[in-house]
Amino acid sequence: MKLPRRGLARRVGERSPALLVYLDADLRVRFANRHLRNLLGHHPHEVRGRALAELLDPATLKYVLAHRAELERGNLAPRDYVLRDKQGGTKYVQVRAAPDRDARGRAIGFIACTVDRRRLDRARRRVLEVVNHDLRTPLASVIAALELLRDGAKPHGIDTTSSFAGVALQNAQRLEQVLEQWLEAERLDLG
Amino acid sequence: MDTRPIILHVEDDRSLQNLVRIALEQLGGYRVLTAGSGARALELAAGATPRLLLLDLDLPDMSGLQTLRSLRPLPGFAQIPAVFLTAACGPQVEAELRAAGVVEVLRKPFRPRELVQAIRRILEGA
Repeated sequence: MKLPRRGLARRVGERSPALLVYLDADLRVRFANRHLRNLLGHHPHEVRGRALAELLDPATLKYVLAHRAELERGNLAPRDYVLRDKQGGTKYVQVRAAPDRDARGRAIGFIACTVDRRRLDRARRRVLEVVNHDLRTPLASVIAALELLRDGAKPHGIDTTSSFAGVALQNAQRLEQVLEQWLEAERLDLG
Repeated sequence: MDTRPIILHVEDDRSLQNLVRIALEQLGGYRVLTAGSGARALELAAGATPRLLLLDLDLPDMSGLQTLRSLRPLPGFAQIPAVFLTAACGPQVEAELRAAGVVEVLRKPFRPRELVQAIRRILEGA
């Protein structure tokens, strides 16, 4: 299969699965891909060349200016925004941005990647549900085993290590494994 | 002859199967039949009529709710109180369980004595 010889970078920008925006140093939109229409209802050509001051309400603009100041200081932490779409509806989005610096290190623009935060929240909720289940089940065994031990119940029938302490330890190790897997997944997610 | 009230416990985690059985038998004086799946619960139900059903929500073959719905049409099972002991259960699922006639939804982790007390309360009120 042949890739186009020219315009590959533009193709990547246009076909990215997230909304990509390039703002110049004056916060004027120089590029927005087609996801702008999906997310906020605007066609990219409606916003190209326009300053954010024209497109956003004063409170959101103030938030953007604070975000820009953080980016210039090197803080690339994502920020959550509440934006108005073309129909006046509310959109909750998360923006990850980075300054585009010249050879002298000055920010000549900003590249922003924007995702629908509700979709992100749904994905996080699903992960949390799984983790919640995977943590609570072994934790239930740890607590039940230790309480039965304290209450003097006889551990006959426990086939693993013949003791409540052994069951508690085994399930504490399961908990440790779940936490390790979770932390590893988080690490991979953060790249 | 064993006259202890029977509790049918449906749970796929081996540690919890054993710990719940020890708690209910030693602290509560009940007899526990343990099933690791919904299908096994239906097999056990063919040979005994329990006083209470204690179910986990997530089972390997069918959900705890599906298991309960499969048990209900069996002779003598329509009115048996059902309790869920589950790790993850949001308000929507809990509402669904309540609508299916579940009398109590208990969360993992649980305290063995509190589990026994809850079951005793339900059986005394039944």
